[in-house]
Amino acid sequence: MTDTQPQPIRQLTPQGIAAAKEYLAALRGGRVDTPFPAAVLTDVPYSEPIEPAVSVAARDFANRREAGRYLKFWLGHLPASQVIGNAGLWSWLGMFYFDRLVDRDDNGHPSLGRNPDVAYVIDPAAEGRGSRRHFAHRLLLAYETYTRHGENAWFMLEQPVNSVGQLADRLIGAPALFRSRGIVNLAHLLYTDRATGRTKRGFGGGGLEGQRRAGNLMRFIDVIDQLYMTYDVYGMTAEELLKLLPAEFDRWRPVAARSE
Amino acid sequence: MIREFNYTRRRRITARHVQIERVESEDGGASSFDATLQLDELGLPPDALLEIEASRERQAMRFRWGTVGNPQPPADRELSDIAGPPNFRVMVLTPDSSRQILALANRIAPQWNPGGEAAAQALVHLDEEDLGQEVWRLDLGETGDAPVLKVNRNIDGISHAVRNDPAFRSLVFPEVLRSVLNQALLVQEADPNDDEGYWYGWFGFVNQFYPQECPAAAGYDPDAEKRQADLREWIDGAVRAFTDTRFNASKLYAEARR
Repeated sequence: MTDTQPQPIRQLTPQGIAAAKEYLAALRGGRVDTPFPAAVLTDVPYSEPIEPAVSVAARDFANRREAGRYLKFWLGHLPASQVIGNAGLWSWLGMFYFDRLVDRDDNGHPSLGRNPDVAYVIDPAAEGRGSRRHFAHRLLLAYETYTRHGENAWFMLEQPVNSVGQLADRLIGAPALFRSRGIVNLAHLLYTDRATGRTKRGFGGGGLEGQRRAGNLMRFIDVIDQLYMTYDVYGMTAEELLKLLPAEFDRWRPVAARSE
Repeated sequence: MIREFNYTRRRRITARHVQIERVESEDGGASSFDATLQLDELGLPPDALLEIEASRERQAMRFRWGTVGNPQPPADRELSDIAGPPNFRVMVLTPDSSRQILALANRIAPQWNPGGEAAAQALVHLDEEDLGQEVWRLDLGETGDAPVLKVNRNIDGISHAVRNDPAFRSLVFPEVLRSVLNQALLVQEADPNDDEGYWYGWFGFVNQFYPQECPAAAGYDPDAEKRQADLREWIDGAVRAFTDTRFNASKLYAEARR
């Protein structure tokens, strides 16, 4: 798809969020011909402008890195207080880029698959609102990964915006893990391979849920939890944390660290 | 039941040792905070490092605060990366590069006390948000975040009403307490004796006006029906005691209506 003329960013109101969710519910219910509710992007009472005015173009993003970089640049023109935690803004962006992000079935109709509504629209009124739900918002996850972790989270940045995968799913599942630069960096050092551009085989214990096996990702999260009682694990660098990991992690250590 | 044990020699920093106040910006920008630390009685090495972390959901900010013997609050204490009211974590670390924790206070909420002058520490945040047609909503967040009482920013003077309007307070606060206790006991099956547990401050708060022991303190009954019934009865009793002793709620509401 080609890029379109830039359009001023707005924020969805509670009515706009409800209308967007109705549309998603219709798609989920099999009514694939339901017209996209374009009014939520432009019209009162569904959305309202943001000051100062900043525009973004409807465009494709090759991966999370590209989306994160683009959003960081344009949202950087807004006060941080208007960006972080602004459900209306992220819901507007989710709907604005919906057409570019959503998967399609064989007939070209949007297909939500297993993606929850929150992949596109954040509803603060939804039960169980919390960071895991927020992170599932595809563009917000790209933005947060890029701005907070940069290339230390290279594997997560390489992934398509509309996917999550086991490594990202585990790291975003607990807010304290994801907000620690050292922990996200260390998980990448242990379980990803720059040379192949992939995660290391067997790191997750199989399946999205995974099983605990010596040194794997599930055990990594357990061990961090144990170290938390004694060390400032959330304030440590990846290198500092690496030195604290027990022998069960030896096979996963980067080669340089293994020889130390 | 999830219980954390402190097998380390880590010392516990309590509400007696630390007070944190969130300071709203006058120009609508990011808020900042002040912290008062009184750690003398903990017997910590004077060269141990002091650090404060502010966090909410996926955002976190670190502030280096000098040492125990020479606290040096940073000039910039703006919470620019945090959306909404944060929790604070105060840490005392060994004066070397090992980053071992000598003393810790978890989940400190800035001062705001719904229960009147006697409650020891703030347990719930207040935040204004566009809630559509809803007047208020309790956001229990994720584990690790303090509950937030959200009020509709489109209603003029709503935060003032939360703090001062007897009708609002008598209608809302008992339900806030009920929701929190439901979440702690019926959903998360928290241990009221776990002094490192997420809900410990709330159990301590309830104990001030409702000394009857929570059935969960002796463990959760394996019979789900009996467990639910016992806990609901205890929660009802706690909320009743809260309305009687802290609010005299029905009287306040009747007066407000008059």
